[in-house]
Amino acid sequence: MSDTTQVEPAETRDTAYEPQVLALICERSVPIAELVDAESRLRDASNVFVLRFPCSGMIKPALAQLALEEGWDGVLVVGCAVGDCHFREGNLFARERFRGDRAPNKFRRMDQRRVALLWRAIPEGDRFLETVREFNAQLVELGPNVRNDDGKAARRR
Amino acid sequence: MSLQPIDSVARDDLYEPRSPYRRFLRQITIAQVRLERWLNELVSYEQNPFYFHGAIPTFVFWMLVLSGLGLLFYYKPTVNESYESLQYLGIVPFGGAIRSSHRYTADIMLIAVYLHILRVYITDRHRDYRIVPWLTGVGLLSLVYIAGISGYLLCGDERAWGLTYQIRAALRSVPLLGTGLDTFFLGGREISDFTVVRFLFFHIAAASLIFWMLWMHLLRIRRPFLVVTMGIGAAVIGLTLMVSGLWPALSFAPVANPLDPPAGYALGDWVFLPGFILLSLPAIGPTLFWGVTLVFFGLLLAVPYLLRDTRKNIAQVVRDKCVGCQLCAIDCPYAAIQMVPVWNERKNKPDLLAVVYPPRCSECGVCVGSCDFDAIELGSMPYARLEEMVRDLAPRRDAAAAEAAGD
Ligand code: HEM
Ligand code: SF4
Ligand code: SF4
Repeated sequence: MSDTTQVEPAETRDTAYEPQVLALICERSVPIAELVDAESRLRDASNVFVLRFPCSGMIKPALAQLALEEGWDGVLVVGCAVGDCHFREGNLFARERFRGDRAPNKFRRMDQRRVALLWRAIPEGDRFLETVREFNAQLVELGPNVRNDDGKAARRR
Repeated sequence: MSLQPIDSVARDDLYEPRSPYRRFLRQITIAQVRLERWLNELVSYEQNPFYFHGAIPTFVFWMLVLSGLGLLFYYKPTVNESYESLQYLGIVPFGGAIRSSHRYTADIMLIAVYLHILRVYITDRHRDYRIVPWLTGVGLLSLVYIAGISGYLLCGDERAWGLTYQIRAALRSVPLLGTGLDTFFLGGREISDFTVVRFLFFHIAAASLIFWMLWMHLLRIRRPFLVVTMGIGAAVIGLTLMVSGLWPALSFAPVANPLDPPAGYALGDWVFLPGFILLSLPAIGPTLFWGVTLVFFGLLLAVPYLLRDTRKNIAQVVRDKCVGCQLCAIDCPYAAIQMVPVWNERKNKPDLLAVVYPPRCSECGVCVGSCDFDAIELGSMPYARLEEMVRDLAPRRDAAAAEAAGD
């Protein structure tokens, strides 16, 4: 898990596999309403479902963990620029919780490579989509989220 | 019905603002965020002065208190000696530097406070549950003005007594109370040494009240950002020293007669005294002066009431689930949650229960993120547990994936 994902773009890769990504997004960061379609998927990347929150401080690691267990291949957590939370501390707390520095956190049971934190402001829709593409590429590299017999994702580490 | 995008809570019109004023606020917010992001690229988010909008005035205020204490050692509050005692600072080692920096940090503080007001206004951080910080902020602004203007009065030079003349004229023009205000202002019917002592009292009282008002300002703000970074602090100190070196703060000529009208003002006086500089123009009388001042502060007080949100997402505690762990009360950025003891019959001892004070709640959901027991929710959360939302999405995702594979 990192604040921004950095992956070289892949030229040749198995295009049959499309990772399913759940994006948990603060409504005051990137302009979600402009970016999603009627199904609440990103227009530019239909494999990304968007769930909207009033503040990234409402997103707890347990949610991301559950999403991975529910079979999502990756989870994106998006908040405003660090230092500029509308509610003063929300994105700082989100970052601390996901790093394991603040309660409640269950992040040690998550596959960190499948969770990315992103800090993007309102006018940065394009930069956001760029990072989504990089994250997708990283997930393609990782391959599908392994599931157990009961359909749940294996817990790693 | 398709949910788009899937909301964890139903919200007011953040994306399609209905009223023109709301749309205007949204537009200037975006412009400001763009500016701040650009600055982030230059100085990194950790050093971005915009993110220290409240800490910078606080820091500058501490600088003022320190340099003011330095001046207090030499200042003599009498009509005849105040001027001389400040001139004497020119001989004392660093005396001139301390005087200049006291003068210019005051200017910097006022400018920093205005930038702070502009930022909280532009980024829509000025209304509803922030009403206490805003209203006490207007109090702080008036105290900063009182401290600044009375600081000018202490110098005992032409400018100080000219300003006294103007203030007296303005006070006397107040109906009914006029003479009383004048006497209160002078500490007697005539200008005497008591007058200068009174000016010193105004100056120090206003500065002390700033501490008290600042405490109220931050009452509802958890963990306020009060400390600037080394970089920003060095920049502020550097700026002060640079301006002090280039244009040392000096007195005007000694006054011939304390009852004379102002002889003129310097360029730098526009920061604190624009009202009085304009008032010295023949065309502007005390009525206009008072009118503009009252309208300005009236508008400041009215601004937060121009726009109000419907409150549908105030946090609610589920009493049976709350275990009293206090995490939400610690995390709430606006101090909206109190832990109260509740008698537990079974254990025969009190338990703690989280209680939300609705007017303080910003509907941010940070407490939902803090609670590991799903014991706190926002008003319009579609599910008691956010987890259920994520669970519900999985079939939708699989259907979409199957469809994509079928194509
Ligand atoms: C002596 C002058 C002032 C000082 C030292 C000061 C300082 C501060 C500080 C330290 C904060 C907390 C910032 C944070 O942690 O997020 C704050 C918040 C705030 N201030 Fe001031 N302030 C001053 C004057 C004013 C004035 C004149 C106004 C408006 C009329 C104002 C309005 C506000 C508001 C609305 C907030 C809340 C912002 C938020 O919730 O994000 N302040 N101030
Ligand atoms: S975090 Fe949850 S359980 Fe803990 S005090 Fe708050 S509401 Fe109660
Ligand atoms: S939603 Fe929760 S954390 Fe946010 S202000 Fe209200 S009580 Fe505090």
